[in-house]
Amino acid sequence: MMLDNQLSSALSKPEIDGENLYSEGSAAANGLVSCNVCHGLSDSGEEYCLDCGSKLAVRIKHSVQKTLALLIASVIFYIPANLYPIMQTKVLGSTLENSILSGVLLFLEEGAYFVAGVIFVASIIIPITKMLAIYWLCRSVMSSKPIKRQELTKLYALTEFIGKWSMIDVFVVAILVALIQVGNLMTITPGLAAASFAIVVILTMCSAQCFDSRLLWDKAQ
Amino acid sequence: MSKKIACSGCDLLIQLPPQVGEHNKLCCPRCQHTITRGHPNALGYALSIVFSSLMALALSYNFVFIAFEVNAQSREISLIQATLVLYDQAYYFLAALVLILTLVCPLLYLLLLLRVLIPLKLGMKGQRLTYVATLIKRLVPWLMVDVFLIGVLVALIKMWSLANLSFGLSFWAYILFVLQFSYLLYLVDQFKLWRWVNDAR
Repeated sequence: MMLDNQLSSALSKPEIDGENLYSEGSAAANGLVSCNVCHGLSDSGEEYCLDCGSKLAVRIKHSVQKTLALLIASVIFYIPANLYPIMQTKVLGSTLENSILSGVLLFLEEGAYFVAGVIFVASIIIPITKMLAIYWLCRSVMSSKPIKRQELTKLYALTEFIGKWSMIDVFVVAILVALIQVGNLMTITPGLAAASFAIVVILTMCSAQCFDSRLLWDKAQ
Repeated sequence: MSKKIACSGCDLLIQLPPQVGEHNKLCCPRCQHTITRGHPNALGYALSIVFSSLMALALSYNFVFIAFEVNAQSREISLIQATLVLYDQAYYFLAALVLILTLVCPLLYLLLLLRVLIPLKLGMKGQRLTYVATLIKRLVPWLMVDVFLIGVLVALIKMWSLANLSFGLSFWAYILFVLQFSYLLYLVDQFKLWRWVNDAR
């Protein structure tokens, strides 16, 4: 498998010692290890950080593998998150079920364009963009072609920043459930999609945290 | 002592300037990752903001958050009910999620930060500060009070046409809390945090 070969070559790289494996001017190329927790510098021979005592690694171990594994898990959870209803509204005995997408469409029909926009961006645009961005970052680390390191590093920073904002929809459902418990006229209950979607957000956040942007700079240009 | 640091974005070795001036920020020359921002009295500011956010947080969980009327029935809810109602209806995962992301993590963050800042301010040696700072670093991505506030606003816009809404004291306290908390996160970056920890050890 081509992907396997690329993956193993990208992953085995940090384990072989040598100068040109790390980017020029980097701590790693100068025989130093930057602690992933406290960012203090230690000699690359050390096993534990001298400042904070955490285990040292020149780069996050198996970064691409972990990132991709969590990404695939989040893609799997994204399917029920879109197919099942995110909330059920019961008004006077009749039940209305809304998935994420049908909820957005409903807001549009009601003319609530702002709310529709916020939910659309937070629940559809951000998660999909984020998943694609993480995949693209992993691909760039694995590929043998020259990459745009500056832009990709910015993309990674953006991915980390927007991650938590997808949680808006889950919170909206939680607040609506708490608010609308008015007698027997109307009740709202969360659907299966709310939990699945929350898991998607958590998994993509973990996935982004596993990615090591320094790998982008280690690639020879 | 010539102090060097490796950029956490691209691992470039950077010679640290003696100090970062006010309104300046220290960026990695290669990947433009912002390492820290200069502030004349970050420690004092951080400490006072931690105290005032704790007060705002206490206010926002102890009074009426939103009151509303529908068909002559009125109802008042507090902030904690967003969790409790979910719990009562046996949506344990969602209840735990909301509670952890919007209350437990932010509160823990504030208390742990206090645990670092107070010994430093008093010029004492702190115990196990690296452990505390590691916990703080792990907590930071999971602080979602700002996301929760936007969620509240979206839910309220949706409810606006259905009910006669009015905001309680807790609502305004919560907005105040989120503003202060966001500024605190902006002010206390990883660089400052670990420098403080190393100073207080």
